[in-house]
Amino acid sequence: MSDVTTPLLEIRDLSVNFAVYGGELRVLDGVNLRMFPGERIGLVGETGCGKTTTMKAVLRVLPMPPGRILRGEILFKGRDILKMRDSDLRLVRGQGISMIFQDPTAALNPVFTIGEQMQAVIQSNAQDNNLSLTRQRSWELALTALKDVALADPERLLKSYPIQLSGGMRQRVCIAMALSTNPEILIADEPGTSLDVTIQDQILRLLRDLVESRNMSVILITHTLGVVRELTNRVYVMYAGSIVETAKTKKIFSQPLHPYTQGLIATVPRLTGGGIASGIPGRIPDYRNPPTGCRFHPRCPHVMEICKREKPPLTEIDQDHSVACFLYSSNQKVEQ
Amino acid sequence: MSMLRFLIQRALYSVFVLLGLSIVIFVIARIMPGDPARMAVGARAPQWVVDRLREQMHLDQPIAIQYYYWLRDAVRGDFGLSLITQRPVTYDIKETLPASLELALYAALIAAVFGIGMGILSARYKDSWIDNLSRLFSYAGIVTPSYIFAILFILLFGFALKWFPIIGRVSENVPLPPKITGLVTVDALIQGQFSTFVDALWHIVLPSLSLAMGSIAQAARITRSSMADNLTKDYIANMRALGVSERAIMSRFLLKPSLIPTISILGLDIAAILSVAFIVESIFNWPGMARYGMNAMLYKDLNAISAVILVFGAAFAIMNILVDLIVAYLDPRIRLRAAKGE
Ligand SMILES: Nc1ncnc2c1ncn2[C@@H]1O[C@H](COP(=O)(O)OP(=O)(O)OP(=O)(O)O)[C@@H](O)[C@H]1O
Ligand code: SF4
Ligand SMILES: [Mg+2]
Repeated sequence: MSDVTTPLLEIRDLSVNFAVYGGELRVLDGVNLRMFPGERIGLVGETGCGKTTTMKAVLRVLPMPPGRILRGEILFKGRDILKMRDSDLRLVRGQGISMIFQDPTAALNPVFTIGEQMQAVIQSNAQDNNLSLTRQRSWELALTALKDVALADPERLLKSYPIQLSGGMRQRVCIAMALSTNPEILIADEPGTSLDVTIQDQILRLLRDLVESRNMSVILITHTLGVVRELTNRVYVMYAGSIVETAKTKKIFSQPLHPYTQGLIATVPRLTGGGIASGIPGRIPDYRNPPTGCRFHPRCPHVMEICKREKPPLTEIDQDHSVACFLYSSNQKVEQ
Repeated sequence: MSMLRFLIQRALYSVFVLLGLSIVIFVIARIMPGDPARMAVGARAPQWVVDRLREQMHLDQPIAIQYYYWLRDAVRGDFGLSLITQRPVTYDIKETLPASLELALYAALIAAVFGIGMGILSARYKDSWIDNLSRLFSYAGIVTPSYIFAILFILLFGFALKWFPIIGRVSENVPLPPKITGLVTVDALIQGQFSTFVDALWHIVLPSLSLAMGSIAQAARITRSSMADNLTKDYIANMRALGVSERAIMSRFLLKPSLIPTISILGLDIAAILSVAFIVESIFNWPGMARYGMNAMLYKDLNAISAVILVFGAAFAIMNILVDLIVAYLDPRIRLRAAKGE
């Protein structure tokens, strides 16, 4: 790529398996992703393609076992997160990169109050900077964080348990928690998907305002192409454990190259999530026994012989536009 | 307020369970062969004495009426005379119950501390030698009855190593402290008799440990598996991802939800300990109620049997309520559901 600044975050060849009863799921198959300061990346791809797995790996919170990282690097400001000592990792988690989890209900501990959980986050991050906060101070910071996400009656909320909140409130609490650490990169995993459309809309608008006012870099995972168009300036398209295409958001919509991306765009941005790839017949493959070569080949309308044998590498074919598909390699390669 | 309501609900429920239990006891006592009146006065008493007693005991009335009288007396704490000791059963129970309770109390403490501690270590050092050893211990602990441990401990720590005494609640030359709670260690402390306290504590180690072994094993296993289970939950990943220290996660955010199942099981286990303690009490010559109850069964001492079973039932019910309260305290979901009256 032509950009001269160093990436803030770079994922190289990340491969992850899950051990399950009777075998291994070969889920991530060499994920590559690069983020520069200030970028807002949209990560799209149908259910089960490995978006959450990738982002959990970035923060080293994949459950292991069953998860296992086979190979790859995750560089944050040039240093490999996967090889970091605990003391360095603590500085990345929270204040370097923080994450809004996909399911806010599962992401909140059911037997602790919101206040106890938020205070723990705030205090731990202060400790990492050799600050010690009084309980009073961390309580105030938690209150501020809740007010920032437009939650009413934050005092009472802090004393409540997750079960006492509505789904929308839990989602906002999770956002408040992730932002309370002032991260450089915010990962938002399908914020609001579990909620109804109007609330989802509010959540996304809130998130956009917060991101803009704090000047954060963002990775937004979503199924909704309208959201991608509105909130991001770069898109990564993922299919069955690999990135198959990336470009500036406008370019992805105006000039999609990968057959899978073309299928996605053709399905018309609908506000209701769900079947993002309904325009493409077939389903995501079985990870126990994924297709050889290009994992998309059983569903691809342009499939060639080579596609069944070899995995197409993610190659830059235009300025800032990379795709992993043999249709765009040099002719010799195709004829091989 | 919600907790009070919860408490009342559970208490009422327990009363019904105990009533049911009393009916079962009563029916069994009545269908046992032999005339209770004849048994009470002995084989050589003249028939008219027996007949008079039958009348006094309402044995000439219909069975439902008999039950009513029996229950009325039982509620007043009157279970009649014990055949063996020739004293009121209630008196015997008052004498023997505290010893059993003390044993169960220490067994509970030991089980909670060591069981949960071992479970935490196992989960923390999963698949290491610590974990393997603890797993081995758990399997052994669960399948081995407590009296086997009692015998082993007596042989090892009593005879071979001579670390602990093996008989009674205190040494022979040590006077029992004045009875306040009936728990010797507690009474000694209240009286400030520190040497008696230590002596009593020394005596209770082996019997309570024998009784606790199974529960230690059980608690360790459950704690380990629920911690391992919860460790993969998103709320732990979330805390980690946001930079919360591993220490805070392990000692707070993982521990608390993981202890809930352990405590539920442990509570019931301990209630059960009380009633299965009879062999261990006999082995250690512990003057407890389980031993008294076993003697009562051997001699067909119906009044004593009924009382002992009812007391065990009540202990079980109380323990259940206690466990429910602790779990409700730990788990807001249960507490809040109770508040809504679901
Ligand atoms: N803990 C796990 N154990 C076993 N398999 C897992 C685990 N976590 C994820 N997987 C598998 O990895 C694959 C990718 O899951 P992932 O959650 O990353 O998908 P996703 O792209 O986030 O999907 P969605 O849009 O539904 O959130 C799925 O097939 C899933 O079954
Ligand atoms: S590599 Fe082949 S199968 Fe894969 S998307 Fe391109 S044309 Fe289709
Ligand atoms: Mg996901």
